[in-house]
Amino acid sequence: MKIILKRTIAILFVCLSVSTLSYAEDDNKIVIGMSAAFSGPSKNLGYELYNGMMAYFEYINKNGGVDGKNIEVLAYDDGYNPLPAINNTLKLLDEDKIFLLMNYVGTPTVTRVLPILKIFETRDIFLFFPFTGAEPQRTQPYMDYVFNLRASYLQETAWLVANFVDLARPKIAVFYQADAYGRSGWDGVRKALSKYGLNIVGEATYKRGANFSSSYKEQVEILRKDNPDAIISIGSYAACAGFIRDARDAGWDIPIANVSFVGSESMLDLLIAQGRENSKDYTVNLINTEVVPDYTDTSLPAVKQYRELMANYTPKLPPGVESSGNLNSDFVADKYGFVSFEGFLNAKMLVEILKRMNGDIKKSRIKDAVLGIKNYDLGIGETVSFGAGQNQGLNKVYFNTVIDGRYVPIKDWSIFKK
Amino acid sequence: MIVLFGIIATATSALSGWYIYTGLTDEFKTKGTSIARIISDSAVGILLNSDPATLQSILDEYLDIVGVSYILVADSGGVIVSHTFVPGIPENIEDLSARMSKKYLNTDIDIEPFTITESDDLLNITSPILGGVAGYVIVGMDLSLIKSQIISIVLRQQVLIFTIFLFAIGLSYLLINRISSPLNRLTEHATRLASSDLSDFKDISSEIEPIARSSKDEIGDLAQSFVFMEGKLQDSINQLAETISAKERIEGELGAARDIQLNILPKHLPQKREIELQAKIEPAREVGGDFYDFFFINNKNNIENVKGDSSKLFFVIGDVSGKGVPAALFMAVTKTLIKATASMDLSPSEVLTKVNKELSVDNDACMFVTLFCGMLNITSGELSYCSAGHNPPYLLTKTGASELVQENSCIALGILEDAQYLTSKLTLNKGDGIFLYTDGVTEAMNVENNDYSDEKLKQFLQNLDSSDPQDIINNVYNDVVNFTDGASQYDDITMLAIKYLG
Repeated sequence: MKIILKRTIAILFVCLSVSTLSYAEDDNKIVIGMSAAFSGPSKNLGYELYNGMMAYFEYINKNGGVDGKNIEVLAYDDGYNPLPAINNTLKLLDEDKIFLLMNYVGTPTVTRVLPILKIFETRDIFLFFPFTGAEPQRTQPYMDYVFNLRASYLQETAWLVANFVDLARPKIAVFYQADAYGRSGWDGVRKALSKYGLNIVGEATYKRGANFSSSYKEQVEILRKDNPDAIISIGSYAACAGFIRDARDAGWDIPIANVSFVGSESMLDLLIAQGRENSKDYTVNLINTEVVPDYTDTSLPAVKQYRELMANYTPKLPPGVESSGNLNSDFVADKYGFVSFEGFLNAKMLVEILKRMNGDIKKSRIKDAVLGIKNYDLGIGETVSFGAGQNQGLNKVYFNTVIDGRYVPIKDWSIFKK
Repeated sequence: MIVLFGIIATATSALSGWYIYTGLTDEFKTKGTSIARIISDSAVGILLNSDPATLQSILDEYLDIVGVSYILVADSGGVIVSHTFVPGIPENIEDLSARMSKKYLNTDIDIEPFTITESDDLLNITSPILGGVAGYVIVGMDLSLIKSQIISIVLRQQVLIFTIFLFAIGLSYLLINRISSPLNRLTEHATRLASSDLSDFKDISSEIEPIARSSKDEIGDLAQSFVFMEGKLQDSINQLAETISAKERIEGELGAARDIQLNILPKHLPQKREIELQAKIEPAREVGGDFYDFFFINNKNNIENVKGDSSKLFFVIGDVSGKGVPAALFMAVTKTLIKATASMDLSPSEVLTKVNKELSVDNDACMFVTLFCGMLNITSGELSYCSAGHNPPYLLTKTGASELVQENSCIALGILEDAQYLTSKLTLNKGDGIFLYTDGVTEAMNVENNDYSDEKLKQFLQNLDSSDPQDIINNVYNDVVNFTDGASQYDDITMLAIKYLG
């Protein structure tokens, strides 16, 4: 009750003060607000997304910014929890008077922030390219305040279902996080299956925030009872890696698919480390869907640029955010990954939108600038389009599997045939 | 008492536990009902939009409320489209879901107890969405939480009550101890006081002075009384000690006086073949008023105590009125005067007349002395004598004992300045004796306050076999002592016996 009251007061306060926001726009810089997980079991996502984005923004700033304006990012840690995400958002809007919000991480966080955006409807506050494929920010009543770049979970799960059905694996079970993110993926699988007249054969959940070290044997037991042909996991890298470990330890070699949000490199990191410890290969029969192309495919201009910029970039935590525990060792070592590549693409897309305001960069012009993007070539072999009723720029889903400890695009699905 | 207290505490806790249980159960029902209704109202649009993610985020928000165990939303077909179960949906919930979808076609809230596992104590609160046509919401309230809460509350209550109880006991103990400790110290003190020789009060009193100073209550008063009493006691004892030392000093002096007094009595018996003489004095106190004396007077009027050729033996026995030091001093004066006067070769009556004069002058203390004196011519046996109010001596002859006849009974010395004393005379035969005594002999009292009496003395003297002065005095003295039988001696006992051998 106290929190609700506090929040209401804060919202009212923001409402009153937002009227001054339009006058607070700085002539020399564009301040972008970000709330993401920099701590907790999903901290790698925020860290990598932030650094992919910053690599590009720093490159733009070094080259004169956008119409002479530097881009700055104020990033706060929400630990992948809704309440801190709400508080961070209110702070960014009220105190920091940011120009726009960008690169939020997670469904449970973003779905709770959405109503704030609706309240600020008239203030031209937009959330760009959240790192989630959930439906609420792609549908009414919130789709007008959010612009997505990545494909949705519905699309990721629909393609997974389609491929499994093709592989004669129609009995699909879902392992998912007991929250809006998990529900979103679960719903995607359900809807995709319903097109084939099928249902989810079994489901098991885990609590958000669960660690890799937690036991997932119960979930393995529950799902195994229903004897599925494949499992689609909608979770965080820590929990999904833990589930894979316990399933494989139970001698269950069923194909397990994860969606883009999992943080593929972080998950692989954990599985390889565990495999080394147990002298076992935990990376077989894995499928990971991604919403960005293979970041090693330098034939793509965006990948090339990404790798060039990252090569000269030092990953870091946002100012004011303190380190908590070890971060993805692969990323720290190589600086490349799907998540940071997505951060990079998000930044690149945003800069293009800012540029399209032709020197008159104002909140009120954002929406028109976005809606003007049609068939824009981001350099990944797929064009971006926005428009009325279309607040998602990309639609393609990429499939990878692990071979020799590395993600490689799946070229031949028959390896997963039953 | 502890058991009784335990029963009361347990009963109180049980009662409050029961009230809390019913109260909280009602509150859980109300809470669950509100949540179920709110979700069912807000779920309509979301369900129609087919947006389970938003629905899920709503459910998650309510899951944080205390007591909410799970929430599920099912669509009109009974398919659970959103729920909060981890790690999976329990089987009986799926069954329930199917049952509910058939049941509902109204807007009533349904509340029923439910269990998922055996140990559960749940309350399923079902709220239909749009009267059931759009589905329903089930909120599972965990009543076991109430029980565990009550147990923890009751336990804490018990702990609190017993803590207070123990604290109170501890406090009472301390208080009682605070009261009884000084009391015990006072008691110990009193015991020590009783068994001590009271020689050093300061050491003893210093034990309880702190109590008297620090305690402002009755115990302090009592201790104060002790200190006061001991102060007084100490004063008394000091006074007593002073008195005792004064008494000891006086006794010492009296002892010296007794020695002096005994010394002024003749120490040596006469060494004459004509007479045998024996005397005894037993003062009742250190110093007494009785005396005797004997000496010889020769022709040149010189006094010879024991030897020489003197033929006149002067003897005297006296008894000064009163006792103690004044009597002793008066006796000394009298004896000295008598001896001095007798040396002038005067007759007994002349001696007494002169001495009486001397004594009577300036006799402010109004002391007097009874006295018998005699002068025996040891060659002729002629005895002249004079009594000044004294007990008549006994003449001891072969025929027995008889009182010496006093022709003129005269007044004691020291009373009348001009009193006249007359001399009586008789002649002793060979073998005759005289026995002189003071009233200490005849008035000696036994424990029944009976006098030894003149008759008894006369009887005893008459029945005596021996005529030896030594035997007479010893026998009379022994008889008197036997008569008094341990009763304290009231008066000086003095005896003088003379036997005329010729």
